[in-house]
Amino acid sequence: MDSSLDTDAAVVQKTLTEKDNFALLILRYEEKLSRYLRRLGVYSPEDRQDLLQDIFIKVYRNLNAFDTNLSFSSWIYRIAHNETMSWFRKRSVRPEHFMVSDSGAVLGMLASTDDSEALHATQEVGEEIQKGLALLPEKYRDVLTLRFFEEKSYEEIADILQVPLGTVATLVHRAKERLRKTTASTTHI
Amino acid sequence: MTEPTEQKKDETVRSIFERIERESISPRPRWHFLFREGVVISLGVFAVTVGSLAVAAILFEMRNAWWGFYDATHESFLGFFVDALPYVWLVGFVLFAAVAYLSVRYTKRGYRYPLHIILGSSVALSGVCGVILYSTGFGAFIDEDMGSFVPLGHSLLDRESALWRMPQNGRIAGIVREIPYAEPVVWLESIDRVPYKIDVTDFSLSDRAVLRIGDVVRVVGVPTTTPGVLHGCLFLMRSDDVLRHVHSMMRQGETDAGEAHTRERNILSARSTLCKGVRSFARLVPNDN
Repeated sequence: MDSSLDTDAAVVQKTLTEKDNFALLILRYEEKLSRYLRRLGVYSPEDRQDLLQDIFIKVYRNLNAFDTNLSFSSWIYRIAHNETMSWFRKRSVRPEHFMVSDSGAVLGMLASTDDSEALHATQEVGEEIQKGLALLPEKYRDVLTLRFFEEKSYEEIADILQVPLGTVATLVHRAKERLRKTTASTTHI
Repeated sequence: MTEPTEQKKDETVRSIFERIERESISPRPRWHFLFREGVVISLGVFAVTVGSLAVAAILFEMRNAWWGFYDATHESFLGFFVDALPYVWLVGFVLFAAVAYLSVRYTKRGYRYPLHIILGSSVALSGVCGVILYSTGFGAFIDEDMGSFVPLGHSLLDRESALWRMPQNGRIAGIVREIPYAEPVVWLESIDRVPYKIDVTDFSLSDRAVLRIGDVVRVVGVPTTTPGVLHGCLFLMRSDDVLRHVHSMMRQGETDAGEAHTRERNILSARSTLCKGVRSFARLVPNDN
């Protein structure tokens, strides 16, 4: 049977009996996680590669801890998030700027008052939002990244950041408010 | 370019598998995680249990503090209140509520519940269990016996005993040992097993008749120049008095011990001018017609 059609949870089970199946999980998530790490501020490709390897090794070691009530995606993102935060702490550095090369449409959606409303954003607005994001506290940047760039649901964000669902909603709301305030002085969002 | 090439993907897979081989990495066994989860849950159960014990002890202490007669031992109600608060149990309760919160928070799915739900639930659970323990009579045992193992802990009994073994300050507690008909005195055996003679000349005969041999009483009075003699102004009695726990051991073998527990009597107050300066007396005067 072709394993590539299996769900992540099924691949996890298969990996526990035959480790070669782990390659499938790596292939499924390498690109997504690499992009996520970059959004979190790991800009160097070499650093990203090292960190990705650490993340996958940690995932492999803890496969038996995977809770099937959770989506594998949320679980692996949680590990990636925690590993990245540890990586920053170990180096005593934080990303000094928030570099997002995503499309202006995503930035526009972030600036909107309604999540479903995609606002057309100019390049100028996009740049302002990028600057504003860089000024936000880490907790706000994290939720905005997951919500608008990784396009995760509130439930998934709660599972990734390990906070209650209500907290995610509050953080997203406050983050957007803060972002709006910081950018309002220079542009109309 | 943001898209990794197929070759790069293969490189990543290869490098990870090489590391797995090189470092002989294997998935941690399931029991490892189950054990860790078990430890966290056990810690939570332990914390709630200790919280319940603390609640039972707090209820016992607050219920048995002599709120109505605070002025017999303290200058003000505030002073009595500050002394009556069971700090060690309160601190223990708060501390273990925090431990319960953290242990739930660090279970697999504990993060899904907000702080107030987890904390509120653990406090409520401790509260309910504590009330059950207290109402089934474990409050005294927890406060006195288990409390003796708590650092800095002073049970209600310790505090009450300290307050009521001060004849020099006009306060003494003990068991009524003898009520001679020939003279207006009552012989008391104190907590320290020292006999005290209480002068009850100020009490009416009917008041004196309320006293029974074997009663545990607290006496507020005026120290006299004769050692071992106190001029009695006020007798305080309560069938559920904590000092009975001390005296119940001293009374073992007495046939009327059970009877003493069942009789409900409260206060005998003296009517003497000698007692006018004694606290608690003023509040009792209105009854004196």
